Amino acid sequence: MLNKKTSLAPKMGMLILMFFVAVAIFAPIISPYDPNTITSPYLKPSREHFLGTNDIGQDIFSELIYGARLSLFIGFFSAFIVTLVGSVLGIVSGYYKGIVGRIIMGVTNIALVIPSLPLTIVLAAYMQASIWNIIIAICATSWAGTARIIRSRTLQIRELPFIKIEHALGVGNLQIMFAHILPNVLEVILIKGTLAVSSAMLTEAGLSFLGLSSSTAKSWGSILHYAFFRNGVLNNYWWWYMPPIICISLCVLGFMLLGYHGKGKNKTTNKMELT
Amino acid sequence: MKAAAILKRIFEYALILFIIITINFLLTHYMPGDPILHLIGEEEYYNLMASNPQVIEEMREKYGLNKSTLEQYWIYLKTTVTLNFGYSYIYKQPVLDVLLFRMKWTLMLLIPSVIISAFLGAFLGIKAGWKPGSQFDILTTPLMLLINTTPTYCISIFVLTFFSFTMGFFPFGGMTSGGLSGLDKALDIMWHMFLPLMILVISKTSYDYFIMKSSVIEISEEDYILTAMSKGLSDRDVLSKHVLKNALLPYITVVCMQLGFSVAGTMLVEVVFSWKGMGTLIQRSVQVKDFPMLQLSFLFISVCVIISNIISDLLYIAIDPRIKEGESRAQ
Amino acid sequence: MLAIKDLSVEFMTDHKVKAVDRVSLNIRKGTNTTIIGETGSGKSVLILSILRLLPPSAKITGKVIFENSDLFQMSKKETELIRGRKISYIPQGSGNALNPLLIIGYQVAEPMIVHKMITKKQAPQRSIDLLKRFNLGNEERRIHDYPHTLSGGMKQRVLVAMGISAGAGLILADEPTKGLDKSRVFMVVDCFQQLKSETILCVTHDLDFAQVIGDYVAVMYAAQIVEYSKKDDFFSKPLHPYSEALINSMPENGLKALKGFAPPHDTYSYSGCRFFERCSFKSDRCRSDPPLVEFGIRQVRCWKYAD
Repeated sequence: MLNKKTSLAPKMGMLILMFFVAVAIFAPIISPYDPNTITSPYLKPSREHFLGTNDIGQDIFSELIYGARLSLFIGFFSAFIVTLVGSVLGIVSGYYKGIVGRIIMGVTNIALVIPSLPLTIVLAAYMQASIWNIIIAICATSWAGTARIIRSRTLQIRELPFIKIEHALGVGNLQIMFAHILPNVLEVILIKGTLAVSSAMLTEAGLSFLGLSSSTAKSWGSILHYAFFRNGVLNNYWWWYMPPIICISLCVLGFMLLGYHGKGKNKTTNKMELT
Repeated sequence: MKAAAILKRIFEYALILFIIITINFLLTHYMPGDPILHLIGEEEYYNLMASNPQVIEEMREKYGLNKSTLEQYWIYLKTTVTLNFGYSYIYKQPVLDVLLFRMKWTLMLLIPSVIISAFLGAFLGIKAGWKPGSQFDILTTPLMLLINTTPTYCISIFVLTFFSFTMGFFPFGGMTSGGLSGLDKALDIMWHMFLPLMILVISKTSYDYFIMKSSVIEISEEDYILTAMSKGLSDRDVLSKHVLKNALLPYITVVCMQLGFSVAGTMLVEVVFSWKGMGTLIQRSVQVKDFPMLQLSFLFISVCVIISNIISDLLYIAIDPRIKEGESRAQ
Repeated sequence: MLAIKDLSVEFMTDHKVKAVDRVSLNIRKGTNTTIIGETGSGKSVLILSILRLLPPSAKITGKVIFENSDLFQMSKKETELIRGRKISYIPQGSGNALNPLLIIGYQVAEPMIVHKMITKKQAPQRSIDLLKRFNLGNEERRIHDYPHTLSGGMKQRVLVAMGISAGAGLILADEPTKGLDKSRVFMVVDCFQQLKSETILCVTHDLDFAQVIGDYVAVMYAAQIVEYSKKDDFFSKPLHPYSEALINSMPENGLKALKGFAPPHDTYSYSGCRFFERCSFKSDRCRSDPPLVEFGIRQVRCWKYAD
């Protein structure tokens, strides 16, 4: 019975994500308005404006659809960089156990202790508010978790007989690392990568909610920011603040369902910085 | 033997603290923009720039910004060690004073929420982990997952609108109604802090729940649990005498570490409930670009994380008999 | 003392796995019986099932009669009263069988405390006495140590002391010599030889150990018992081709290794001898289930002796 449940979870996750990805890709077709077009502000949901309009008269439903684009883009792009950097550092430091490995590991351990959300905020505050700076801030602070897990996996794999044989046969280090070790840690990388997308999306939403994103960028977090700071919540315009909340939560749930499958009993995720 | 392990950890953390101070230095001096701007704020900077630019030059002299990087770094370290973190141009006070005042309010939310959720998460996690697949587990786990995936500020917005705006049970935010004293004031504060506290509790509980649950499941599969059962212990005694102690070991350390990270976590909840703690302080500082304030907040939170890491390490060393000299925590 | 009748254990995980298949075995009071088999033959599952220590996914059928009552018909409470006091289980020392966070002295005395034979205050002295019996050395200090300070051989001796601590008459032991090097094995052997009044049912893949300890030997292969006999008869003249192969693989007999592997669990439902693929005496009739042939108390499951 338990087995049925675990195989159902990633399917559900996949379904949720496919929905959002489709929305993001076909945003111009689906959305009834250009999210930047301005009409009358604070309209209630109606036939013309499915979810009403915001404080400056933009269609919230269209904002939400384009928001999927930006939120997912930032999530995927940051996760890609984070996972790439983390994996390379993890494999290299696991493979070269000597001074190189020690230095990388030392830096990783330090990076793990530095609280990432405050650092991200400070970084984002120093830089001009823009999507790219948010991505840079996310990447700079969240590669360490991936690096550590990949490193410990690499340490296990490098002790396996087949790697030792390769070594004895004089196969080059680079080739061993990327042709033989990489395929064996790929599963962990994919799992970490999936979870990295959701954690990047959460960070982005948090930063945007605090108003650290560019004022023209439309992500779910920034919709929520305006809904909260421009009296949407105070006046209980649920059609304004609820949809972004639901979208963020559903999307994160989708990534979690997908990522925790095959993760088994691994309990070392550093989600706590965000929740 | 254990002393050496402790010393080694403390040395490591001192190094981390040093690195964080260095990051702060690099941020002020190498981020785009004039460092003086970062020190006195945009408005003041442009005013001075227009009226009498020589004041800016004097300040440059005073802060040693004309000197070499190395000398500047040395000056920065000296001022940091003497707890001279600069002046907030928004609050017109030394940043340290502002921060310490705000910290009090954050701790008021943080400490009870960490403690309550530690117990609640442990209790629920043990119940679900001891009999995985039971009705309790099947009901609780999806609920916890849902709480876990919804950002806390989203839950906060939802709860605020429902309980405060729609039902009118609780205030719209803030910390006191004002004009009260004594017991009335205390009760009033409790009334104001109920919702934010509750949200922090449930979100932390969901996190603790999964840690405890997986820990209990893992321990139940250990050989020594079978040994204990073979001695004739009842299920209850196996759980209380053999599973719990082993499962609590990683749990306590995770909860302790969480204490530090939670300072950042409470931030967004504070913003929603306009709770004047560290979180709103940081948010406001970001908006008005109060860089000395931001830097100190970052340093301060880092110190909290380091302290909670040290506590967690010490606990681990104290509880676990297996820990040997120089051996870091099993990860 | 203990009569196992038609005991089967199935695991209901992804696909059904029959770990023990209709095993019957009589253990006589005061004798030692060893069950020999390779890893995966189901021997450990067999002894765990006697005390109902298997996870809920295991489906057990058959009977185990102990002191005139069926262990499988007992309530949970009754089973708990038997465990440790009447029948005890000695896990293998190579694993993680001792709780890492409790001192050795408490763990050794725990069966007595659980069955309210002593108070907690008496525990240290009782464990010292028990451990002295097995020459752990420096017992007064040792009881305050944690398990990680013990070597594999010492752990096994502690586990034996724990097993007899509440005076159980029947001892079930799981691979006591596993993971120990030869020089340590004799200490464990010594331990078990001290247990004179107890009845022992011991699972092992160590033939030397079986030769020293056992009065009777049962050979388990692919979830079934294929041979049962007195120890001396078994080692001088094994009947089943598998037993013969095992004995030939002993160092003093020239280390002739048995080739091939035991059949996978999912093929157990097919008829025919399970040793067929590896047998050097096979004939056509071995394609149907071999009969259990009895010579007095001796039993063998093979067509060779059917006539």
